[in-house]
Amino acid sequence: MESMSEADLVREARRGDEEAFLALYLGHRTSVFQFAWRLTGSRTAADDVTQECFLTLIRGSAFDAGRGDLRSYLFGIVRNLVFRQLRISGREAEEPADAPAPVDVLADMLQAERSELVAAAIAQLPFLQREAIVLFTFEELPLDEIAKITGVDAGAVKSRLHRARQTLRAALAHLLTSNPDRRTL
Amino acid sequence: MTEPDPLDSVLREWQAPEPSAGLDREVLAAYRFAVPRPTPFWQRFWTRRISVPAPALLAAVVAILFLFIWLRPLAQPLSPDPSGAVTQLSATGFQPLPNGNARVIPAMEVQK
Repeated sequence: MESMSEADLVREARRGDEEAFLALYLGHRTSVFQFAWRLTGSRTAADDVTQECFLTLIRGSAFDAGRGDLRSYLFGIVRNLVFRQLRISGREAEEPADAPAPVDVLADMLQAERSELVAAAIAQLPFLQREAIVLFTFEELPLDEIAKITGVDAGAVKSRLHRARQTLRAALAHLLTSNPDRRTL
Repeated sequence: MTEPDPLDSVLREWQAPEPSAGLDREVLAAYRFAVPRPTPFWQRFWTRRISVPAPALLAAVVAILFLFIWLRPLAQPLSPDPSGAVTQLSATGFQPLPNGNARVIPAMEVQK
């Protein structure tokens, strides 16, 4: 099973080979689940999306390894499922879902952990900016891979990232420290 | 473009949870429901069903019956024994000898 490519595993899993399916699922479930969780902010929704994502892989159109790796393919499925679940149209997704309530930094610092503050700040982003920041910062995908998943060119991804980071920088200014070790845009 | 940015380290503090074991069970159950396991060839062979139009089935039965009747082995007529011996093939008119004294008569003697 180890010697099979992911495209072979997908083919075998579609034929009913449970071992092949488990190899695929166990290899990608965490990143798929966490990507869905970061987009939806809900464990229940992330569970549903993860399950539907792998079923779509098995039932859906053929996975073409020549057009990208399986992880990106799965992220594309997750993205579509989350879009459907949140009923966000492409136009709405460019804008904040609600009137953006500014993150009350001082109040939150008293009540919540830093992680929750970051989550709240990211949740305030418009969907397309949120998915760009999640794919780039947390999934560590390159710009061209994000562009493939989201169906836009790399320039648009870069623009979304830039706007997202501007918003986050303002919202999280009080948390920013001077010992970064991460890549930046 | 590659300068370190403190924003990234702050963002990394947002930890995502791990998927639960319950999700694993649900996904596996959903997979088994969606994609039944393949059955062995012999099992598929013995449980295979085919549909045949009734007229075609009737024609096949008639053809098989016809071939059976046409090709069945027929009883061969017996030819006279080249040695000249007469063999009684039928019991018609058979009369048992009164004294049970039977003897074989050669064909030449009969013709005389």
